Amino acid sequence: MRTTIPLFFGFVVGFFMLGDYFIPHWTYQLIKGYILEFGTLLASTAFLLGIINLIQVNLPKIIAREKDWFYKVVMLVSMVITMVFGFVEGGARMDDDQIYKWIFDYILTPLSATMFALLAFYIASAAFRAFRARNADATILLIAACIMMLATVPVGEQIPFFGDYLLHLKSWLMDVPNVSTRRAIFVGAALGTISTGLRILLGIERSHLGGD
Amino acid sequence: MRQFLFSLQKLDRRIIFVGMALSIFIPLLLPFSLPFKVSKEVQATYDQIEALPKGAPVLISADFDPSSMPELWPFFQANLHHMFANDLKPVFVTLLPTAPPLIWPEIKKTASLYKKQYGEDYVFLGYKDGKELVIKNIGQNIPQQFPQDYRGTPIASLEMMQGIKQAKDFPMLIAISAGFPGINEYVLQIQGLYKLPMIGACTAVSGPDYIPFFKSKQLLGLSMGIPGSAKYERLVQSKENVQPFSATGAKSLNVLSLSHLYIIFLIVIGNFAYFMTRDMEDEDGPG
Amino acid sequence: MDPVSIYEIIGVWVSIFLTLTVFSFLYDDNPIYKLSEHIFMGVTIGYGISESYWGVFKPNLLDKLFVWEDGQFAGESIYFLALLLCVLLLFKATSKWSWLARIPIAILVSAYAALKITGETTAKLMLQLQDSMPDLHTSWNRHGIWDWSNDGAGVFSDTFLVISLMAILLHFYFSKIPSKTEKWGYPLAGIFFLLCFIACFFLSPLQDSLIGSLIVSLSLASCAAMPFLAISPARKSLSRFGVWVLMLSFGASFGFTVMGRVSLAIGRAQELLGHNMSTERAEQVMPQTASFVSLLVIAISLFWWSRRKKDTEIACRLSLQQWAFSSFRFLFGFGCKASMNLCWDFGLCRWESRNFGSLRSI
Repeated sequence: MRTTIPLFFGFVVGFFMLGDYFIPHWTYQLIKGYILEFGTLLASTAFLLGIINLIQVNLPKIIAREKDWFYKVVMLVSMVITMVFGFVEGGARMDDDQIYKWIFDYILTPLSATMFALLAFYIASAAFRAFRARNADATILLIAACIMMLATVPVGEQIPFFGDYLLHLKSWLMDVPNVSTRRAIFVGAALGTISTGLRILLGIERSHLGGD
Repeated sequence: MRQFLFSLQKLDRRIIFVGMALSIFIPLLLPFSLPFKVSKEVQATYDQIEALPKGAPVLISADFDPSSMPELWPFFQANLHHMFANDLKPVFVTLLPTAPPLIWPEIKKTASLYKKQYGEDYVFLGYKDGKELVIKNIGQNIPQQFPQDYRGTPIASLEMMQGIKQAKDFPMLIAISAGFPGINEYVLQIQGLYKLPMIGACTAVSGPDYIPFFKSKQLLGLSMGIPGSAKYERLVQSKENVQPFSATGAKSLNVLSLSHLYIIFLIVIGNFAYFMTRDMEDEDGPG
Repeated sequence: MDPVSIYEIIGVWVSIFLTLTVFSFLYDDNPIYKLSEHIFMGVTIGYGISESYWGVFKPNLLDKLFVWEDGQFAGESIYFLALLLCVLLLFKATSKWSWLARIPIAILVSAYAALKITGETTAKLMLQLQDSMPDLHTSWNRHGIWDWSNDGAGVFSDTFLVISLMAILLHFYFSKIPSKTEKWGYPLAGIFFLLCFIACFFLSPLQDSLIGSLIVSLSLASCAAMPFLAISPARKSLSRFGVWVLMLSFGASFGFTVMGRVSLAIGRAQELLGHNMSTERAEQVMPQTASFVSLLVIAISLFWWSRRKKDTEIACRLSLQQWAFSSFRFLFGFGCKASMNLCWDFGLCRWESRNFGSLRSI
């Protein structure tokens, strides 16, 4: 019962959404519009659920003074402060003189951008340590990478005689071997998505419902 | 020598990091400018927008966040100037929560440069969570998905939104995307279904994934990473009626040159050391 | 020159300091980095929920449902259903009633799966495969075999694309082909090659160019014979060719990945040097001074932290020995106060090492 009812709803809604491709009637489209809108609301609720879960996981650890409890306090306090200013400042929260905007501009933006910027340094380290021409496959990969790195920046274009050919070679690599590879991956991924999708709609795949 | 090359392979990673930092900071402190050619993908992007009739509404989905700003911001900025200089009417949406505070001030600033009025010449519908579900509904029913704009005004009361009900009502869609949801999802849910002319601007990492869409003409133009943004920026700046704006893309592109050379140098040195000391590595185990 | 507000100046300084705290991870995993990391997580989550409320819950649920006109309910009742589904989803957080959340989850996942099925079929599977078989006659007329000025466009590239696509797909095919079927591979490929070659050659629209007809017919015949070679013993060589093409593509992807990552670092470096703001603004905010001061503060903190970490490790080892020794003394009645102190030290050291120790990254 606890599994059959959700599967039934999933089956009905899923096949209704599939039918949209074939039935352009306005009533059908109207109902589909509601399903999509409810879907966006559910996606946002899932975010809320994530926060509840975060508190459920971290609060007991803080109370028990477990390892790194102080950092967890910092995380929850930052979350609450941001949330409070977001709700209190309301529609004007993104105006220049608002604290919520200040938090976004001067805390969230630099931290978010720098977290990803760290990867530039690790990729340099990886290029030095791991990028070896150990066999034919690795050599091809390495040569293609070097051509690409040189040709995508202006300095590659400036190489006498070879620069122009380098640009064309880069474009060829992108337009031919890259396209055939991506298309092969697209075909595999599309077939996989279709089969998994059908398994979900037919109730064969149930892992998303969790265990009993 | 061989001993040196062998120990070189075990170089502390922090020394490599310092080299990387220098390769970024030196060209920023001692700027230089190298000429570059415009690629066919970027030229197509520019030409497609140029071909739009004056007053045409354009749907722009600006799905980037602070972490992808260095790559996509120059494109977005140039695109705004291109839109307003050509008297096009952009409707902005975003599927990432962190995008509105980044794009909204710039939209207002650029619009005021060209004396454009909100609601008549441009609209910002704001952020919606739900990823592909939202994209699907943009394709079919924009007022239902976005009953209010970013400022909370009902979109039915906005002059520009009269007659715009779904994606098909736009002659063009531009997706500026940092990843998921982005170009791929727009192609799946809107372009493929309604055959809507579409242009994409993406980060360098996802660029190779979208080239097949450009090749199959599902994307009529494509800008990839900083090079794409810098080239598009230059094309827009060379237009007559465009207000001056800083060329952030071109500046970054020159810095990128030295960093790429540094990484190529690391690969060459690493491989040279590896080949010279391969037998030593076999004896002592991998470094 | 417009004066910059004190909040903005503080903001830029805080922003630069936080940027450098994250970069301090390059030295080693450390408490300053961890602090920034957790602030980042907290702010991101808080920001996300706030935006979800203002961007989704309010306009798409509350403003549509809770509408009152002259004291009468005037909302759209169907949104009670949405509210119900949202509430059911929240039951996931309970242990007893969590199964109720399966209903909205099943609806959401099924709707999403259905969208994916139609989208992937139309926009990817059909259109991408359709575009892969090019018009070789037009290609010959426009570019010939290979045209450098058009990035290598021409009959060679078009044929290469089809053959490499099939070779890569073949590489992803893992099933064993029965030896009976395998025997038919070469003959069938030969027959189709010949039939296709003859048909293309004699029906070719390139009647005025013998070489053109010949090359285009050979290319088309090769593409036609490929699926049959896939069941022949030659499939291993074809699969190998597919791997090489994959490597070419992944190499190109690596090049682009490097570019993407370095671009992000350039963005941060521009902020540290104040290149992302006007000269007038930079004169008031002094981002370079902020970077220098922040760097100094972080360097000193890291130095102090690494010294402390080392001292703590040594102290831990020492106090273990001393604790054993003092216990011995205690047992022999040489006073318990000293040993109690050492026990306390030992406990403190353990607490400190638990918080700051063993953070070395790879």
